[in-house]
Amino acid sequence: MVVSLAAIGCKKSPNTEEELPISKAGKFGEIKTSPSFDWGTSKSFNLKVIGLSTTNEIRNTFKVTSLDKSATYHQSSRLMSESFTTTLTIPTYLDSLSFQFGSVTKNFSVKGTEIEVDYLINYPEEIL
Amino acid sequence: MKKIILTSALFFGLLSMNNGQTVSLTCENTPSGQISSTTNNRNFDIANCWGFGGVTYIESLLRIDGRYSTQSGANSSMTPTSFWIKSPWLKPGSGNITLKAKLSSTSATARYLTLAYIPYDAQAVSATKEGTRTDFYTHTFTINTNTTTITAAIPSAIANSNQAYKIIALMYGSGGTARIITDTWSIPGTYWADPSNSCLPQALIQDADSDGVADADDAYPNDATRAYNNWYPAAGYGTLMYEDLWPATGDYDFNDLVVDYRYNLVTNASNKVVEMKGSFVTRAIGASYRNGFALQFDNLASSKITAVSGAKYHGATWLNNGSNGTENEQTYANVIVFDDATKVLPSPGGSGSNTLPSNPRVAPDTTSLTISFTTSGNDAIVLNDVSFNPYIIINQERGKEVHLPNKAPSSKVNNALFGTMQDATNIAQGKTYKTANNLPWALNVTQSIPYPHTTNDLVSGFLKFADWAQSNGAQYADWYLDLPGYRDNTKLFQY
Repeated sequence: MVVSLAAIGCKKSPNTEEELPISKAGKFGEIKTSPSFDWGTSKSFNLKVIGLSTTNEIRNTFKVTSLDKSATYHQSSRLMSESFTTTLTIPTYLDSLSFQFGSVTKNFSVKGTEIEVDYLINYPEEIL
Repeated sequence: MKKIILTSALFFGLLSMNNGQTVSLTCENTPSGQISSTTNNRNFDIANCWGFGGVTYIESLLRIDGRYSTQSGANSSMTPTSFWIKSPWLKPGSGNITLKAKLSSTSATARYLTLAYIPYDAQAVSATKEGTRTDFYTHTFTINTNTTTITAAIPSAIANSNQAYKIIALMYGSGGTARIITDTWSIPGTYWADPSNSCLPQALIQDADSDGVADADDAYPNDATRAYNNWYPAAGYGTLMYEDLWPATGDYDFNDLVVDYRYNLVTNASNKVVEMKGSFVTRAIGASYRNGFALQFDNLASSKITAVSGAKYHGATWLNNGSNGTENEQTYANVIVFDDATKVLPSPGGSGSNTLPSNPRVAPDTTSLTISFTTSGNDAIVLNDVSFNPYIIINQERGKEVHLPNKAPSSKVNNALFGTMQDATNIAQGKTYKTANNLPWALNVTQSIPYPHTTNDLVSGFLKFADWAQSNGAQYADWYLDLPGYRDNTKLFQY
């Protein structure tokens, strides 16, 4: 019962602003969705990488992976100074990814369709 | 032949910002896309392998040159390692190290700045691989706030040695609260650090095919025309599921044709797509229609494809391919993967294959497709140019296609079928292959999943599917995973 209640969506009554519950569909043909729903199990977003000027040009492999590195969503050969944008497609339920450029690695949140990352990280102060 | 290439020499050994002869610190460089500030500029220099101990950047009137300078903490301790600035790894030249320095106030008994060098020691335990420090010059400040230029010769022991060193300035003193401010560093030598490798010295990389991608990252270390594998899905196979009564709706068991897929876009060191290697596993045919299966690459001209191999054809009369393996008379590149599913997955008897538990199982059939793309000049394509649009061709009727919702049909579709029966396609609005209630005729799941038995509604087998759809994807985005409470396996065909 609790699960059913949790699954009920709402629609607005045409006469009032009151939201009326929509029954959970028992069959595929009974499903009600928004026209914008695309039925996809993946989502795409633009990842913009802000390059870092370097004294000498540094080339390495730029890689985007799952947080546990088990799945790779992008690989390309890049200069560290190069700013670029690429479109990635990942499972819809993922909300965090990791990128690596050599030893530079950062996790980032995947919310929205435009994500920006850079190579700057918080370096701990060295103790001599 | 295996080749060992020095990264900087291969790419830009003589074209560093400092002409390879001077390593500088000015505090004025700002990371791209960020505003100039003490924090951002300091972060830029740290990212370029400068090190700071107890030293910040200032923008006050006390600065020396430009907008920012470095400032130590109050140097009232004679411990030399409290406040310091350390260069990146560099190969020292000869000549003088110069830097400008001053005290922030006259509140001091004594203030000193000592220059030292640190060798690279590959055997060092520390991650920085720094060896033992050797002091070679000490400047004693006159207690005033005047700017002075400190000049110290590169020690002969390291000058032009072709070895990697760091230069470090240690700032210390006694009494008072005066701080040491520095700016405009210039060290004769060649920058030799790698910001992408923990700021260690630039390393010799193994690159057997000399394509610029290190063997450790190169999936094709002995093939200069290939470098990376880009798999989709990233792990395992995805599942495509179709209803084939379009433009009429069916029983929504989505097993009229079930094809698992995984493809690899192979790119080269210039990030151009060389080829697509696709694996398409025909798992089930739900009824008697002889459906074909094809791919359209949206917005990609057929001329971008140079060859296709591995497709399975069985004499369909509507097949009409060009010499490069793509279908003729198409606006975009279309490749027929197989023309008749019943030929690649023959029924064991009756209609359909692998949808009725009581019928004999038929081993899924794999079509291994290779599509080669042009890599010449401006015609070469990149990953984002490849848009995957898989569809079925219903029962040998070429104009009858079923695509994933909101995916574009090919040029060969019979447009007269749109808007008939339950189809509510409106191409101008970008709405395709949906009913008036926005229900689809095809689904793409980015993981291989079981499918319903014949006439079992999809919702009966995947218990969170309706919640997902009715929430417009907000809930149970993982509806297809094999989690507790997510499936009724009695309704699903496990093959």
